[in-house]
Amino acid sequence: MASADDHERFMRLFLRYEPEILRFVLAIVPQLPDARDIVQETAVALWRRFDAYEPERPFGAWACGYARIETLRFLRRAHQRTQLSAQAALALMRSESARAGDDELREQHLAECLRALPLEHRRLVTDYYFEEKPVEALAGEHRRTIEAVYKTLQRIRQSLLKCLQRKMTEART
Amino acid sequence: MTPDDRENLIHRHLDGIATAAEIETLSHLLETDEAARVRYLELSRLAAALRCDLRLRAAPLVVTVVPMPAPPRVAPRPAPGWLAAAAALLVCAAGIWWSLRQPHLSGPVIAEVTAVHDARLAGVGPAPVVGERLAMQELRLERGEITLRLDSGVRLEFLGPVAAEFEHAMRLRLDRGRLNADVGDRGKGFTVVTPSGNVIDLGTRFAVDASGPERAGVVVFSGQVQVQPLSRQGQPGTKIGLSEGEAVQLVRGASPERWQSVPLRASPAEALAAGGRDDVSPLAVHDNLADAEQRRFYGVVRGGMVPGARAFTGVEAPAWQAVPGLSFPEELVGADVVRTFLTDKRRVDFTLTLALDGPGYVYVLHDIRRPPPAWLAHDFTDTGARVECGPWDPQVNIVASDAPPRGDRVFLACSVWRRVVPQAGIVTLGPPRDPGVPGRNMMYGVAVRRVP
Repeated sequence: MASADDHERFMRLFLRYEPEILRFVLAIVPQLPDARDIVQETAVALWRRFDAYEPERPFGAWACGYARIETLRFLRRAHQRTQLSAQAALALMRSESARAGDDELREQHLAECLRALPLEHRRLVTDYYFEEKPVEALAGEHRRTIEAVYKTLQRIRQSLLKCLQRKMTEART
Repeated sequence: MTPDDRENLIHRHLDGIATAAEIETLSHLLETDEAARVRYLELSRLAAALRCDLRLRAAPLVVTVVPMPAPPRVAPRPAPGWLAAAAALLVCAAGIWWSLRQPHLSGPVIAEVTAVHDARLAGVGPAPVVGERLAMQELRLERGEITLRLDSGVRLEFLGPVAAEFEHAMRLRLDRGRLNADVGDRGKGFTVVTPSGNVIDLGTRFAVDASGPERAGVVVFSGQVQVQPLSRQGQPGTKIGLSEGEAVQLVRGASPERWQSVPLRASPAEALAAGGRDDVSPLAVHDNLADAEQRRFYGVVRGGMVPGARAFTGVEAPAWQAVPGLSFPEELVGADVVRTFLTDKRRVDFTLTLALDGPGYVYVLHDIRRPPPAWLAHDFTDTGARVECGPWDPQVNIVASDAPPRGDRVFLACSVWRRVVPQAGIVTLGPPRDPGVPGRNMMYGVAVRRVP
């Protein structure tokens, strides 16, 4: 039976690593409400198995293992037409696990790339990703069509990725 | 499938707008194509980082208003002559450097907060406090009001919600919202850019209302501005001058229109009221002046009728007051005030149309020294209540021997006439006097009390 100390320790660890878990899930299930549900299920699973957690292991990696299971469970259970197939998700997870663990550096560069965006684009990123405003509202505020807002978001992501990749390459050389 | 198709498919899925068929295609692609998986993961990891990395949120991209320490205040000390000369040279060089930089000015503008009321700025934690100095470029005021004084002396009062950006210290882009500007001597040339046109100050107090879609209102309280409408393609058109007491609406691709009902706050000094356009303009006012060059406006103050309420547009001092020894008529208190124009006092062909959005009472405050014009006696009822309008200088031409001064000022008594308006509709008021009536008179006042 978990003690109050265990509970507190779990909460501290989970809260610290929650963004990492959410980010892991979002890479496969990009819709935020779905991803949050999966993270919630992951938290329940982690707490149930917390007595098996070995403190010398990185909590983030341990938690993402459960997030992977919960993500696949979500995709199989829901089998929603708005989600990728479980097979596609598995293939993505395999490719994801092969990538270099350079999150810290990526975030630093991404922050720089964000600052370099034109103000109008920064405003859109803030509204869409940080304030979580619906695109319909953004179209009204920015006096654009909904389709134009989506297109702009697409161009912003492409531009950010290009900037990020350039900075990562420069950092390695 | 072309690379562009693949790219579009991924983006549509990331934004949650892909159809079931598109998701099926994407799933198949990801199951079989390593390059597609790599690209998908690159983009989805980027989107995920934007969604949930708190450090990115804390980065300056959202915190566009950055508190700055106040500049140190050092008491001046006498300096030796050679030091003063060197300092003068240094200041001169700095001035030249600064003036060379002016055309390229960009980046944050330094501003001091001089007033705050219930302000919430997007992306910023605690609201700024009075006296705080900010380095700011973008301003997104979700609600409330904030007044800033720029180092140029320009004073800007933003009435939320506002989306604006300082392009540099002398140019503000107002995408949405309202502002009152007091530009002062050093700020002459300060420009406000809106999606419908530009407003270039010529040393004045003015306001801009970009709260409505596809149009911007410009109103001048003192001095002059130039307004420059934009064509449908965004090309600047011919500038027109706008003087004190005038207001226009700029509509992209069209000629400026006269803005007749301007929502003002209930202060003696004229200033645009806060709130959405629908909030403050349920009462529309129009006159019958046909002059195409005529651009004067009627200030409409919602709930502004109280003792001391300013009576006219363009004249600050005269206000509605209680008659000595009597209380201010209770039924007038809290009514909307329409600030009429004193200069219409002699027009015998004048009409003023009030469009009410619901049932209510229209009040006309008539100069008691003259008989009521026929339309007033016919359509309205004298409530028996009386108010005064003043103070007036005894030298002004509406004051005659039949209005004796009280001390060194004159107050003119007015009768209060009422008309019941049973439902939303139009009420037309006539001229302030009938033809042939001798003597001087004051322009009437108007108040409207709506029934909830």
